[in-house]
Amino acid sequence: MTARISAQHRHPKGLFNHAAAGQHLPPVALTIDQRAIRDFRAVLGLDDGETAPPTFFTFLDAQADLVRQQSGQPTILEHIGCDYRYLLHGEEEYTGLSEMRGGDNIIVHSQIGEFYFSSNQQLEFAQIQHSARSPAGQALIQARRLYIHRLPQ
Amino acid sequence: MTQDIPASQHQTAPLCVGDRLTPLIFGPISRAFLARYAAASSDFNPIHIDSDYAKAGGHRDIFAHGMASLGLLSRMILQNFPDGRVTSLSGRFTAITKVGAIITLSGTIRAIVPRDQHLLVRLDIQSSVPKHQVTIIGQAEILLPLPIRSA
Repeated sequence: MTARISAQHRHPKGLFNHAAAGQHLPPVALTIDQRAIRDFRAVLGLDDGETAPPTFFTFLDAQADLVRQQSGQPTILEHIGCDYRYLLHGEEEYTGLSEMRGGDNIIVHSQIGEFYFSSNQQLEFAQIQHSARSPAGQALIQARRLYIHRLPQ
Repeated sequence: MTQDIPASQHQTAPLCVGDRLTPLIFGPISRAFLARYAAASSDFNPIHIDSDYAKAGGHRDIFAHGMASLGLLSRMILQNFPDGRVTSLSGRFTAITKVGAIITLSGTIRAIVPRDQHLLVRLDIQSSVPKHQVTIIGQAEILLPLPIRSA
């Protein structure tokens, strides 16, 4: 599975679409599903509490991409031209975590950050920033996700 | 602005800077777990669930979602502090976790900061697999109501 992006947008030394740097994606409104929280907690072995675990934002990020797909927009990973065969997580950071529960309405904002290479040119990095807010503007979480292509040699 | 309290000054027994949290041992990582995690997280990257795809990418086999290990680190923290609320969590991924691996999730108290009627506890956290190979190095903060009830 390779995200849809034409070869002309790829960086000559890498796989990501470096032209996407700095791009803000349209905000996506979501309602948190209590069953999704329950399933996420269960797979991690957490008790059956009602609050979203700290890394639940990954599910919300995926849900936001699903909304984009359904409205004919590219997903974030399509925007950045990721090739899943070589994709790894580099770093993940979640700060300002507020309690989120089923039924909460949130708005996810996402921005594509910078692209760069490791000094030996074997790794290619792509940074994505997200924030989720309530409809009233209350900050609920800030997330920074760093993706890596382990470049084929 | 809050300020970290050196180990010699804080009086928040039973917690002390340098204390190790009770680790969580999880696994062995099975293909069924990876399928369940993919479904629960909506992370269907085939590199974690399709051996043929993983091999095409130069891997010997599928390997675990890194975010599963970070999620398990949050479980380890919450098992140590059942009344707490994790307010930040971060990790740098340093190695993959193979199918069959047993993961050790661990943490150490780095700082304790009084905050209103709570304590903010800063943690160094780590995920590792056998032979002490570290897969995630990270930090977390957890807000604890006073009085503290440790697990």
